[in-house]
This record gives sequence, structure tokens and C-alpha cells, in this order.
Amino acid sequence: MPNALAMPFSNEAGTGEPRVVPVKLLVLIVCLSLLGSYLLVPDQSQLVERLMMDQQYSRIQDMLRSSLGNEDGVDAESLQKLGSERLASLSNLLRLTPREQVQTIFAAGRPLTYDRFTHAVTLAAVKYVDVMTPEQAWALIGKQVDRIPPGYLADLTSVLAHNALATGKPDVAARVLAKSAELPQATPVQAREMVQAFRWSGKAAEGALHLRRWLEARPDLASSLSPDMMELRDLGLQVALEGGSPGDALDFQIMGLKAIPQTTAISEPQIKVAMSLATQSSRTGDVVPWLKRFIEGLPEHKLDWRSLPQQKVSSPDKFATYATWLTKYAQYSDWSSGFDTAFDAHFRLAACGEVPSLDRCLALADFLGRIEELADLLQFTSITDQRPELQPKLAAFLANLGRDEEALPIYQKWVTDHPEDAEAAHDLGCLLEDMGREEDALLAFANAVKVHPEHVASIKKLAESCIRAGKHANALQLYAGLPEKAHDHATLENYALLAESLDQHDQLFRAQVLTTRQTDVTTVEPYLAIAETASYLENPEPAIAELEKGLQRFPSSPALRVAIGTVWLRDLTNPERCYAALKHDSVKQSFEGVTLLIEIGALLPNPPDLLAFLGSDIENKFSLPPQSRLELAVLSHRCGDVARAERLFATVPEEGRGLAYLAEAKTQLGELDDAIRLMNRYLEGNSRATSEDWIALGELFEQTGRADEADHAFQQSLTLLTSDLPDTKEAPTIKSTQASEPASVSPRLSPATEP
Amino acid sequence: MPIYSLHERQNSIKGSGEVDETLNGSARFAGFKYKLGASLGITVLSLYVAICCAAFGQEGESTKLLWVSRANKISPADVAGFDVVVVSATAKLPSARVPQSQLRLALFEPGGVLTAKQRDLAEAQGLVVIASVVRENEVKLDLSTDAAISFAARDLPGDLISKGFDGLVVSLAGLLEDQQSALLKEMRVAFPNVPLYVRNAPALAQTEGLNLGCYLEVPISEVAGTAAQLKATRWGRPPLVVALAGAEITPERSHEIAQTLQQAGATCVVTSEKLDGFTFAPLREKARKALILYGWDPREAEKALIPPTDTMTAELFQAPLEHLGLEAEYLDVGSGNLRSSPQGYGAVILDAELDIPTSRESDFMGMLLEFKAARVPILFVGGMPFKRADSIQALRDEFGLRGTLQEVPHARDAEIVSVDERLMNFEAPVVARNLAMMDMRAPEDAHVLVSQRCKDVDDLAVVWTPAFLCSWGGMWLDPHILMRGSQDNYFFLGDPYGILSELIAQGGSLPVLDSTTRDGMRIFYSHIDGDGFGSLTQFRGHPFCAEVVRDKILKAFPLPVTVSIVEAEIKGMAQGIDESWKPKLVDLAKSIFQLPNVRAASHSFAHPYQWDATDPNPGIYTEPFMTLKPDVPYRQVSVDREIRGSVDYINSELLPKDKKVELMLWSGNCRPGAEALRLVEDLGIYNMNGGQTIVSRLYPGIAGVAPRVMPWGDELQIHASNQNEFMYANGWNGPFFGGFADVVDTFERTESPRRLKPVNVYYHFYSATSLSSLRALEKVHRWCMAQPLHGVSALEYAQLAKDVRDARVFELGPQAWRICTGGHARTIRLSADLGRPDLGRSEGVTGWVTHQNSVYVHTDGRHVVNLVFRDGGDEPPKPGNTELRLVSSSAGLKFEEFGPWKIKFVVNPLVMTPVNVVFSGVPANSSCDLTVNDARSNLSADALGQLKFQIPPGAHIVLDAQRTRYALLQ
Repeated sequence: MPNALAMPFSNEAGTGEPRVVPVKLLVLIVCLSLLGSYLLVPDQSQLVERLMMDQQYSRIQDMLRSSLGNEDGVDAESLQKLGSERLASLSNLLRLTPREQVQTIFAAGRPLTYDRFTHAVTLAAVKYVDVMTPEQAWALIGKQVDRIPPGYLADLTSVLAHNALATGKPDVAARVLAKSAELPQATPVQAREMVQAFRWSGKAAEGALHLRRWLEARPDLASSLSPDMMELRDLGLQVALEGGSPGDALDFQIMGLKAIPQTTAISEPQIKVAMSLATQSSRTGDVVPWLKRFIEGLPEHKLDWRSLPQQKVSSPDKFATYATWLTKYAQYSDWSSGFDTAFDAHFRLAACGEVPSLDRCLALADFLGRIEELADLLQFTSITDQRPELQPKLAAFLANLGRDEEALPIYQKWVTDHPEDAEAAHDLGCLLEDMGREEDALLAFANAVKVHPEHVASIKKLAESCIRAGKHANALQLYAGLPEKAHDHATLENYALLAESLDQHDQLFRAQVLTTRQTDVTTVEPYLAIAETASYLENPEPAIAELEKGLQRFPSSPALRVAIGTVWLRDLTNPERCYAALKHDSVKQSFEGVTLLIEIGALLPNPPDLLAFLGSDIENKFSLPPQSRLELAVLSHRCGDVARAERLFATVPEEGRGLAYLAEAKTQLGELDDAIRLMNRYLEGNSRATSEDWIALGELFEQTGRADEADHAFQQSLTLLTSDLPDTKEAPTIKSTQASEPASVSPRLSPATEP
Repeated sequence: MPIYSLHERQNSIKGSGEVDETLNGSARFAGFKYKLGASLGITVLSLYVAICCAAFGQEGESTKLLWVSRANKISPADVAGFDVVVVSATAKLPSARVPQSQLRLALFEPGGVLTAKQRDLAEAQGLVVIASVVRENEVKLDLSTDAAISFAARDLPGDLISKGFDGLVVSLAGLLEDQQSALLKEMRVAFPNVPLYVRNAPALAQTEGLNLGCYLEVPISEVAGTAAQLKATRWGRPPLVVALAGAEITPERSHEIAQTLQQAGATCVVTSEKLDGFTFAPLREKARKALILYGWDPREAEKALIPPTDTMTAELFQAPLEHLGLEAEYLDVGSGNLRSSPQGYGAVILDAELDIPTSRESDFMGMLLEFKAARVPILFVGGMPFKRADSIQALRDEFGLRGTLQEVPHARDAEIVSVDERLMNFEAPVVARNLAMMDMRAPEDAHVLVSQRCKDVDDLAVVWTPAFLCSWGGMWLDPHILMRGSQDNYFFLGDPYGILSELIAQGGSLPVLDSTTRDGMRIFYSHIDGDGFGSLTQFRGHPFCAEVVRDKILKAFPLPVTVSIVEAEIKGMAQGIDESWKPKLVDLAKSIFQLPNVRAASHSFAHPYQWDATDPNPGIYTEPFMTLKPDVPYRQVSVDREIRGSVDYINSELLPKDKKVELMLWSGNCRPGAEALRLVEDLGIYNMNGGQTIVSRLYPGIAGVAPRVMPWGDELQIHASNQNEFMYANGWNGPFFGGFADVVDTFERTESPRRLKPVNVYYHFYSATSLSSLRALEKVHRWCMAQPLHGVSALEYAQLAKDVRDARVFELGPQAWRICTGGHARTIRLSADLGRPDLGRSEGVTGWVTHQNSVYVHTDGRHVVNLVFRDGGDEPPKPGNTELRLVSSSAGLKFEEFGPWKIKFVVNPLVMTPVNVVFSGVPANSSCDLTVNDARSNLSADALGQLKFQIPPGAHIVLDAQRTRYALLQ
């Protein structure tokens, strides 16, 4: 499809030559036209000459003399200055009837210049009511009145208004005068005429409105104290009221009030009228400043608020009047969102015992930031006797103002008198704490908790106070008594710390469990902590249950599996469950897991299964310590893999501590003579040998029936053990072989349970 | 006469020209009046000349000091006082040169690894670079072409010279012989006047016509041979010799080595093998660091790595270590280089948050033994970090411990065997615990602090000494460290200051760079976090908090305050800030920053609660930063926007021309992380906040005293010295908010029994929301105004805090030390038992004050201070023994002349209150002339010989005690 836009540039576009008029011919035609016009159109002098010949000049002159009162009319020279078009139109106008003239002059589509000639024609046309009624004239003129210059408009409207009134058409007169009143030159007299015209036409409200606008446009006149203006404002007020427009009436009243000099007091009747009108017009806010001025003029208002109650007693009548006005003032201010003003008024009323005003102050004080004044008021007046519940509020106000010393006795008395008020009791403690009076705060919180044992906030605060005071057991008791839902992150942490510090393992366990339930646990750490606690619990079964829950969340955590395995082995002496917990691929990457598995190998019913799980090269994956290597060797040996056992034995050199490890391994394999040899070698001249080492040797001697040597070894151990133990009140029981092995044997594994 | 000669000697050491004039003038006066005086004057003059000659003679013999380090971060204190400094080419040197003639050399390795910029440059020139097969992004220059040699000889060194290095130490290792000589020749042509030293190639250094210097790094075993070789050769300039020693080297041996080298004409240093900057000789450096070992393998331990601030040491022991003069350096054993040389460390602490990866236990043990051999005390705190049986066995054997060192499961009936009453039962009594009971007894020589026993599952007695000190250090294990009452209340069972003091005592007296005191008075500073700037107060008309703070605090109390704002709040981007308030808030901020006592800081753009997204312990926050209006396009914390953006905004829009943002005050969790800290440093400003020191009635444990600083990687966070009002006012949860008044209790508790912190009034703008909190603020400020404090800005404190960490102390002899700083650390604290400063033999010392059995020595702020102590003399001195010294000043003084009889100084003009000054050292009740801005008056000393007076800010003062001498002559 061809591109339409591209077509003019296309080769397929029209190929014929365009037809055009020659330029020379075109120029010739234009020149001829211009010449013809010049010769045919008359010039100015020719036009005036024609006017004279038509006697139009004398008609225009007569018209000007008649309508404008101009004795000289217009001279020929003036006419000559007019343009030909203007002269032609004037000439045409004069040929028309008066109605046609007015229609022509004010026709919407043909805007004639409204000059003195046109004005003269218009005045002549509207002058006689029998020729054209003012109503008809205004109907034609009114729409185009903006075209009339102000001076001419005043003339015209005056003629029309008078004619309208004369013909019993006050509404027309009002409309016409309203228009003229809009002119800056409009006088108060004109304004008055306008208002009256409206009034006579039954449109008083409209008249008031126009007058108000007229006055608003003339602020100097509006606030003038001249009798004329006062009368005019009064007229406006009356007309507004007649017209049912109290708002406008209020405006006239306010204008009157504004006219009163600042030094002159507003009289009661004046403010009454204003308030009445304000109320009628729902514009109470507008009268508030005047009300304020009025009240400020009252002698009672000049008194300090602290003196008002006395005034109320000494001059009850006067005060009643003042209170009435002040109440109105407060109300009006409130209604008009003048809350600061309302507060001021209510405040003074409240100072005299007006409870509703006090309530209003209470409601406003916080919003307005006027707590301090309110606190002063509450402290000053006896109003709190009527409203005792305000006492703790006052105390709170004072405390928030930093006036703790004043707040404290109020709180204390209130709490004593009203023990049922849990919040006040709590706040009293908080205040004491804020004041740095820790001991007193503790007592206050203790008192609050005693009376309100369910008050969680007080319990938490009391617990914190107890901690600070070093009463940790009390604090722990409080945390322990809190229901689960009442705990939060902080209390749980405190709970756990206290329980741990006080060796209260059951409580520690509870705190740890609650922690795993409450917080978003993302690591196994909380569960590892539970596993650690398990060893201190009388019954570790619940701990295992919690750990199993943890395992459901972190099934591939070697650390958690080792922790569970340790609990099973260490605390519940169940190596099989330990193995079950550890038998997971993830544990194969864990040094601790692997060494624990090797350690329990001898305790399992099916050691080959363990070896198979660990794999044949576990000793190459980790740098196992000598003990683990030897345990693995013993295990391998027992499972028939002697070669591996020997390889592992060979990794532990017969020197230093290795001798003792090897002796122990040989013992487990029943190679007692070898074990004795190694142990003897280890102990020979070894100053770091322990009593446990000697006991091990003694036992080897015992097992091989060498009683004397066994006794010697045991004696050596006893000497070492007693020399190590500090001098204490009670002689300790000496640790036997069965109880403790040297570092080579983990205490996690009791030899008594060996198969 | 002996009296004069003493002062003559002092003045000659100081080299003060003014004192010379004074003496001459005085002698003339005496000669005019009395014959006796004249003869005395002549005698004095003669002695003066003689001593001057002696001093010059010594000066002539003095040798230059060399310092070498491979570190990238070089502080002003590192290089202060050294004549020749050799550092890595990538190191950034501080601008200040002390001494002015200091020669700064970069270690230049033409065959070494190229920086990214150098690589780009080389590649742009079409040169071949060789990539490392071991490390990614590591490339070296192929020097086989002339173009490459030219590039290496001209472009690379040129870059270094333009960075401010004076010369180069050229390492030619790995280059062929012809490459080496070609390179040196071309370098000399390119840089004809630049000092060039050749590293470890003395033969090359002697190449004719190239005017090269010789730089040698030799092990101490080869020093004798090297010295002989050096002597046998004529050097154009003294060779630089670095003798590399192990930690075991004795002071005598290192001194001997240095002497040998010096006698061979070398400028030398005996330093550590790792070239970490620690020097053994000619200046014997005192160890000022404590190595904290912490961390784990995150995979093995199944928990994220933690930063140092989360360790027990940071929480409990770093503050005492700092007080004792040791700066904590943390080593994460899970990821860091395990082996660290022992030199430079005054102690090693195995933190409770240490879980040695099982595969590294053996190496770790080796490192411990190395420290033990170097007699660096090792303290185990918390628990036992070893899991492997063989490691535990080694610990037992090597450290003399007894027992199985295994935990005793199901322990019961614990009872205390013994408790050291002097160091234990500190804030809470030690009680016997079944928890974490171990079968472990201290070495035989140990000083046992706590010993307890219990019964095991078989009813057998087991003894445990969880706290002890011994020859190699000691242990202080849980649960015998703290009574943990709550997350905020810890009570020490032992005195950490006492225990750590005894631990490090064998290192000898260590002058402590003090961050609490300046010019003899406790430091005061104040700073405001911007939060709540645009919040409305509860006062009548609800003015902005900032308006109230400005009018009721900043204007009412003429103390130096650093004020910060949150940009989003001022800009009306924060939720709750009406758009129409913005112009008012901006004007308000401007009006605050224009106050003369206000310095500027930033509190970020949007007040992040969590600064580092990777932080494993960010705290409990529900939002990443303050709530912004929905139309603000900011969804996650951008460190750059928060720091650079807000700083730029404040600088360009809010500050008067003469002010700039000086500090970044951390918001939220105040855990900035290394990246944010680096950015702050790059901007050339300092940082502050965090630490949360709080110790008061509400938080009574001394464990609440936080460290002064906290390292994050290579960066340093400066902690505020005190917690803000938030914690004092119940976490701002109400119902009352006047708790900050209790901070005075903190100020008192951190002053006595030992001064641990400056007075730091730290709060937020929201403190003005309620009248109670505002009144608390007013109360605190009134207290501060009434105290004898030395006001500084928060920036000055931050500079001080960092400088204290960087400072170096060298032992010049018995009771004599050289202290090198960046000029901000101006107070040195020593035990009063050591005596008093000998002003005549010290340099840069303006006076001292004794407080709490310590001597707080103040300096004039120079980088290198020589401090010599002597036994305390008469106080006040006898007539004629006048030796004026500054006791205290509440504002900074700049000394123009400091002689025993006459001192001229200018008072800091920026302070807003009259300055209280106390001088001492004149006879009791003697008279002096005090000239304040040319107005001279008479000033009488009190019975203690103290001259107390008050002077206006900016005043020029002359304090002349010549009359005391005149009185004697009469």
C-alpha cells in the first residue's frame, strides 16, 4: 500500500504542468483596484460637506443642547475631527426612532463607541417615559451597561431611576441604582436611595446585601462615626433584618463595633445585639473578638484568676454577670475552634468552681500544651474535692512537668486511700523510679503487686527493681509466676539469666522452652542451651522432648544431634538412643559427632554397624586425637579388622602421654602385660603423673594378681590425691578408679558400663 | 647558686631562647642592684653556656631513628618522632611531619603485584602483565622489555612521589641482574634528586654515579657480620638497617644490636620479624595492645560469625584494659590468620566467645605457647575453648594445670573452698555453683582467687579453681565472673580492674594515654542525635522540639555541643512531618548551626536502625529505618546515601560557611560495620555513638562501662562516653520521662573510685517533648556548669579517642618514657607511687595534677613528648625553687613560652565562659605578676603554692613569677 504522506515525492505523482496566473497580470489587477478605490471613496471634507448639505449638523447640535444641557452644542470643527465612519453612524442614528436608537446603541453585535454624542442620543431617547418606559430602556441598556463610562452611567441611571420611581416601578429603580452604586463615585445618598428602592420593592435583603458590599468597598466610610454613616449602617441592619438576613445584619453591627475607638468600651446592648445576630446567623466565631473586647472591659476580668473565687463571694451579682458573659465567651470560642481562647475562659470559670469548665480544660489541656497551667489550677482550687478522681491525674500532670516532689505526696495519698487503683499504684512506683529512689520504687511496686497480683506491668517492674536491689531470688520468683503470654523478649532473657545465675535449672529450662516458643528461632542455639541445661535436671526427659522438636526444625544440624546424643548418653545412659540420634549423614562431617560415635562404639550391641556407618576411612577424614584413634582401633579389633587396628595403634607413638593411652587401649583388648609395661614406662619419673594414672596401674596389677605392686600403686595415688586436695572443713572422699579416669578417658563414658 | 644552676640546666635541655633572655635580663638587674647578684648572674651565664655546649655535644652524637612497617594504615602517632620512615607503597601517610625533616620512603617493588590502577596504566601502554595462578586478580609486570623497565622506573615511582613520599626503597627481588641495573639507572635519570635506597642488595647500592642508599633487612643473628661489612664500606648516605628479631629478644640484646649497627654508621631499628612496626631498639617500645582471641568456624559451630563487639571481652573487659593502658585488638580464630607475633601485646585474652575450630586446635595451642614463651600473660575467660582431648591434655601439661580438665556432669553440693577477698566478692558475693563445674585446679604457683568443690554423680569430691592468676596469666571462668541479674544488670564477682592490673603487672609501669582528662580537668562534651528535631513539644503552642532545645538548652548553657540532624526529617520526608513544616525546620536547623557553641554532625539520611544487613545480631527492629512517606523512593539502607548524602546535604544547605560536618553520629543499633566506617574515614570526618555506657542506680553494675572504641575490621568505631537519655527514661516508654537527671549519678560513678569516662551529655531532640524531660536536661546542664570540667567538642573527643589507641610509648630508661601521638592525646596517667614529672628533663609537659593516687600529666599537644619522673619534691616549693606548672584549666591553652618562672599563653577563643586556671609550683603565699591582655595585676599564691585565676576566652596571658626569685635575692 503506498504511503500517502510520501506520495507528493513519489515518481508516480501527477506528471502534468500546474496552471498558474502570470505575476505581471496579478500586479496589474491590484494596482487598478487601488486606483479605483482612491477615486471613488469621499474624503473627510467631502463627508462634512455632505452632512451640511443634509442639515444633519443642526440636528446633532440640537440634540446635544437638549440632552446634555450644552448651550453651544457642537461646532463644525469638532465634527470635522470625527471620523467619517463615526459621522456616518451618528447621522444614521438620528434618522431612527428613540427605541431604535437605544437598540442600536446597545446592540450586542454592534458595539458603538459610547461618547458624548451617543450619550446625548441615549438620554434623549429615554427621557420621556411615554416614548419608552424605564423598564424597557433598562432592559436594553442593562445588558451593555459596562460599555458606559462611569460619568455617563450615573446620569443615565439617575434619569432612569427617577423615571422608574415616578412610574411606580421601584424594583427597576433598585436595579438601576444598584448598578450605579457599584461605581466608585457613588455617594452615601445614592446608596441610601438604592437601599430604599430595594426596600420599597420588597427586596430588603437584596438592598442590605448591596449596601454591605457598598460599605465593604469603602472601609473608611464603613468605620466612620459620622451621623450619616451611622444612620446608613443602622438602615442596613434594619433592612437586613427585614429581609430575613441576620448575617448581613451582623456585618452592619460589626461595622458599627469596628467604628468604636479602642479606648471606648463596647456597651452591653451593642454586644448583646451582636451576639443575638451572631447566634441567628450561626456566626458566633465572628463575634468572639468583640466579646473578648467587651469582657476585657469588665473589671472582673482584670483580676488574676486566683482572686476570682474571692470576688465571687464578695460581689456575687456582678460576678454572676461576668460569669455569664465569660461562659458565652468560652462557648463561642469553643464553637469557633478558638480552643486557646476557650481554655482561657474556661480556666477562669473553673477557678471559680465551675466543674463543666474544668472538664473542658481537662479535655483541652493536653491538646493545647497547657498542662502546667491546669496543674496549677488543680493545685489551687478545691475542685478536686468535688472530683477526687482528678487527684492521680494531677499527680501525673505534675510528674510530667518534672515537678516530681509535688506529685509524689499526691500519688502516695491517693494510693493509700484508693488501694483498688492499680494504675495509680503502678505509676507511683514508676515515679519513684524516675526520681532515682530505687528502694522506695521497689516497695511501691511490691505494694502494687500485693494488691493487684495480676498486674503484669507492675510485676515486671517489681522484678526489675528486685534485680537492681540484688534480690535475685525474688525476681526469679516473679518471672516464674508470670503466665507464658505475659512474657516478652526482655522478661524471658531476664528469667533465663536469673535462673541460670541461681542454679534454678528447672526454671532455666522453662525459660529456655518459652524462648524457643516465643521468638523466631533461626538457629539451633536455643536448643543447644536446653541440652546443656538437661544435665542439671532431675528428669531430663522433657528436655529430650523439646530437643526432638528442635530436630524437626533443624534435622540436618550435627550440633543439635550431638547435643541430643550427649543428653541420651550422659544424662539418660542410653547409648543406643544416642547412636540413633547421631546416625545421620550430617554427623559424619562433625568432629564432635564422630568422636562421640567412636566413644560409644564399645557400648553398642552392634559395633560393626557403627563402623559401617562411619566408613572405613574416617580416621583419614579427621585428624582424630590419639584417644579416639585408639578407641577406633579397639573397636576395629573387636570387629575383626585387625589390620586397621594395628594401623591405628601405630599412629600413636610410645612416648609421653601416648604411653598411657596405649596402656589403656591394650587393657581393653586384654593385653594386660603390655599395658603394665606401657604404664610403668609412662609413670617412671613422671612428675606430671596423676593419682588416676597410678590407680590405673594398680588395677592392672590387681587384674594380673600382683597385689603388692597394686598396693604400692594405690598408695602412690592416694599420696598424690591428698596432696592435691585443699584443706577443707570436711575431708573429701577420695576419688576411686571407677569414678574418674585421667583425661584420656572421657567422663561421658563410665567404664562401669563397658561390655 | 645551686638553685639557679638547676634551672639553667633545665632550660638548656628545653632549648628555650626566651629563657635565655630572661636569665640575662635578670642577671643585669641583679648586677645593677647588687654585686652579689652580678656575680651570681655571671656564674649562671657561664654554667648556661657550658651546659649548652654539653647539650649540643650530645645532639651531635644523637642518631637518627628509623621506623619500618608493612601496615597499610599509618597513624600520625606511628611515625611521630622517627627521622626515617619506610612503609608499604600502598600505605597512606599522615600529613603532619614530626620532625619536619622526616624522610618518608616507600617500599617499591617493581616486580611486585600491581594495583588495579597500575595494571590499567600498564595495559594502556601495551605492556604485558603476568597473572598469578594462585590468587585471582593478582598481576605482575613482565619486565623483560625496555618499555616495561621504563614504565617500572618512571611511571610507578612517579605515582608514589606524587603521593607524598620523599624517596623509595627499591626491592629488586626476582629481577635479573641486567634488569636491576637498568631499572636503577633509569630511575636515577628520571628522579635525579630523589633519595633511592636499594633493598637487601649492598653491592647494587654501591653502583657508581647513581648515588644510591643501602637498605638492609637482616635477622639479628647476622647483625654482627652486617655491621662489619657496613664499616668496611664508605656510604654516601647512612645505610638503613632493619634488624629482625623474635619476641624472645631481651631489652639488653636489642640495645646491643642497635648500638652495633649505629657504630657501623647505620640508621637502624630492631623490630619484629613481621615488620608490624613494633620496635625493640634503639627505642624500646612498650606493649600497648591486648590480643583478644574469639570466634569460630561458622559451619562447624552452626552459628554466624560475630563481630568483636559481641564478645565478652568487649562487653566486660575491654574498658578495664583501656583504663590500664592496653588497646584491644581482636583476632577471629575462625577466619583470621591464627598465628600472630607476641611482640606488642601486653596480654592475650581467650574470650568466652571462642570456639576453636577442631582442625585448628593444634595450631592454636602452638600460638598460645609462643605467647607464653614471650611472657605475654594469657587469660582464659568464660570457658575452656578446646574440644579435642589431645589439646586439653597439652593445655594441662604445658600450663601446669591439674585435674582432668573435664566438666563434671551432675555436680552437686558445691561449696566454696577459698575466695580472695581483695579481688573477689566485688559487686556481688562469690557463691558456690554446680554449674559448669570442672575437674581442674590451678598450677601450683598460682594465686587462687576462687576455689570451690562439689560432689560428682558418684558422690566423690572434685575441686575446681575457676579463677586464678599465675606466672603465665590465669583463668577467670564462668559462672564466677558475673552475677547476671538481667540483660542490663550484671554484677562483677571479681574486680576486673584489679585482676587485669595484676595480670599485666609484670610488664612494668605503663604510662596510660588518658581519654578522660585534659589539662588536669575531667573532659566534658555533649552531642545531640537528630531524632525528634521536627517533633512537636507538649508545650503551649506546640513548638518544635528543636526550637525548645535551641532556646532552653543551647542558648541557655554556653557549653560546646555537637548537633546532628536526620536529613529526611528536615526535608519533610519522614512520616509525621507535615510538608509545610519543611521551610521552618530548615530555618530552625540553620539557626541552630549558627550558634557559636554548636558544631555540626550528621545523624544520617533516614536514621537506619540496622546499619549492616549482614549483621548477625542487629537487635530487635521491625523496620530498617525511620518510617518515610510512601512517595519517598527509598526502600533499603544505602550506606552511601546515609553518610555521604546526608553530610553533603548538611554542608551545602544548612551550615554557615565557616562550619562543616565533623562527625557521623550512628543511629539505631549503632553497629556501623566496616564499610560504613570506611566511608566516614574517606570523607575525612570522624564517627561516634554506640557502646552504651550506663552505670547508675538503675544500672548499678560497673560492667555497664563500655569500651572507648570498637574495632570493625581495620576500621574504628568511637563510642559515645555515655548512654543517651533513652535508657535513663525507661526506654522512652513512660509514663514519666525525667529519668535522664539520673545521668549525674553516672557521671559520679564513672568518676569515683576511678575516673573511667569523661562527662558526656548525650541526648536527642525529643528530650524536649515533655517538660519533665526538658527539666531533666536543664538539671544535668546546671550540674555540668557547676563542675570543674574542661569542655571540648565531640570531634575533639573522637580525635582523642582514636589518638589514644594509635599512640606509642617507648621506654627511655627508668621512669622515663617517650610518648608519640597525633597531638590529640594530651594527658598521660601514671601511678602516683612512681613520683612526679621532672619538668626540667621532660619535653612537652606543661604540668600535672594528682587525682585518685594517679598523676595526670598534661602535655602541650606536641606529637613527641618525653616524660621523665622523679621523686616528688617539696610541695609547695621552697622560695627560689619556683617551677611554674599548669595544674588545671577549664579550656584549652596554647603556650607560647613555658619557663620555670614565666609562662605566656593564649586562651582558646572559642569557649563561651570565663576560663578557670590553676597554676602551681611557686612558694606558698608568694606573689606573681599576671598580665591579662596587657593589663597587669598582682596575684598571690595560696598556702599550697597555687595560683588560681579566671580569664576571659581568647585572652593573652603572661604569668610571671620572677618576684619569687627576687624575693630570695633580697
